[in-house]
Amino acid sequence: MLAKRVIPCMDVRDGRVVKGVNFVNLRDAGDPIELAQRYDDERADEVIFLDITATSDDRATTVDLASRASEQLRLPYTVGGGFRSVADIQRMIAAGADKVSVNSAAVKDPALITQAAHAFGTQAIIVAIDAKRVSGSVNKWEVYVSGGRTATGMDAVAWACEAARRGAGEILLTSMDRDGSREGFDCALTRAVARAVDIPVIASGGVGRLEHFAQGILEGEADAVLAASVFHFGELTIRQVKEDMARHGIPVRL
Amino acid sequence: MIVVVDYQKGNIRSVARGLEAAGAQVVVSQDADAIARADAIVLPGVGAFADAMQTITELGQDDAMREAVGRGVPFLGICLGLHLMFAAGDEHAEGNAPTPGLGLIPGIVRHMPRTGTEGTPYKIPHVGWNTVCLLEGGSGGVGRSDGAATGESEGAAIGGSEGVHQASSARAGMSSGHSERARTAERLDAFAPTLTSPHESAACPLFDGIGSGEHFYFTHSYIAPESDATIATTTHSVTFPCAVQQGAAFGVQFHPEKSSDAGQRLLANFVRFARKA
Repeated sequence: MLAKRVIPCMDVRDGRVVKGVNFVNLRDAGDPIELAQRYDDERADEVIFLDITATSDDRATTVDLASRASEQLRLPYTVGGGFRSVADIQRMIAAGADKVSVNSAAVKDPALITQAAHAFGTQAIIVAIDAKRVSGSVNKWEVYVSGGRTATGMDAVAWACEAARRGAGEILLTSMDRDGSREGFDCALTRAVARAVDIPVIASGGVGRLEHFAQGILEGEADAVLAASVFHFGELTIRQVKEDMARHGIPVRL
Repeated sequence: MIVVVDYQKGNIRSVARGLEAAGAQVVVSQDADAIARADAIVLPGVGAFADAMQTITELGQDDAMREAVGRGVPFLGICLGLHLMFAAGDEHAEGNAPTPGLGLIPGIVRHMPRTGTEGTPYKIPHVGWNTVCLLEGGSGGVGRSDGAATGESEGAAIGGSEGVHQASSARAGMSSGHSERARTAERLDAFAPTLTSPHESAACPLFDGIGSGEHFYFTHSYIAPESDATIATTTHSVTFPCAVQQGAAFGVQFHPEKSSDAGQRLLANFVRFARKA
């Protein structure tokens, strides 16, 4: 049976790992490759490097990071952030990234998903969605872009469906309401998207305690769960998380 | 010298790194002559079938690989590399006839069904770590029986059941009576953690020291067809061949270079096999 995945996500700036709390107040947690290797030892299923600066000047640094990662890592990794064109994605795939995640650029030009999926295979293209609950609503979430700064008016579930239809291989779904809150995933959001699409959904945003991971799978119906700071600062280990998931009857690779 | 075949489609460095870590001398090359002279060949997997085959043919790599495999040169196809070992593939053929592959093994590579046989929807691509079920006597296509095939189709009917159960049912040549019991066991086990431990080694040198039930990393939407070459299976929407062997030519659907310790062990096994050959 396909195991549910646990994915540490590293926000990377200038080649170093940082983690934003509600997208501000960055703290440094070290070298991304070293950290990824530590997670490999702990049985992480894959890792994501999210380039949070992603100005054109910094792209070269991130391409270097991808090259180093493909030389040194023995587990799959995704690079996200700042892709604007198929050429940008091509550079990262050529450097050795297994997958890329696209966010704002896909919203701006959904054809990018189709083109990239055709060029590199659907399995290589993750569409990242930052979603925020529409105030006063229980089951409506709006898509935000540009690192959560710009509202689009788009419905998150509808956009996830379109992304899947256009060839996305996975959805990386971040709840902006929960991100940094340590209150757990927005399981209603995750479930709404997971039920609407026929591709895997990675739940992100809000993990603070051990049991939140199992909740993301059981209540959110996610295929994978993502977290950052609880891992980077050693509050929880991947192994602890997986053992807890196994105790909840979730298939994991221990 | 192991030649990792470069057909201009992206990440092959991880594969080269894994082989080097196992002590092999590795050359990444597009050159048909280098492939023809190789002591062993690794065909990694990136991209789509038709696209890859076009490049491979243009570069004359197809004849070089067929000829080398014909001489018994050890060969390992990974992911798409496994697919290309078959007669043809219909990925991106878009209504046209399937694209011819290397034709080392008969059969056509097709899209994985989006539903199990009971209509349960499955997420495709099949992404992540799944268990590998080694078939007994899996070496060079010997030891496969009708019973094993029956066991596998029963496995598919269970829909997403655990690989270890598949293993036992495939080996037992499971009757429908057994399958009912297996299904009941499956339901009882449905909420038990997947705590697999290596408990058995296959006859196949590729899986030496790797137990049935070990997890490997998969990412694909297309699957290889059933053939006499199947030495291991994995179950998602259906049970499909995840490893094949035809003489000294091996293929794996998963990515050993992305499968941590288990993957590194498999690559080391291939390097050792290639040295002895």
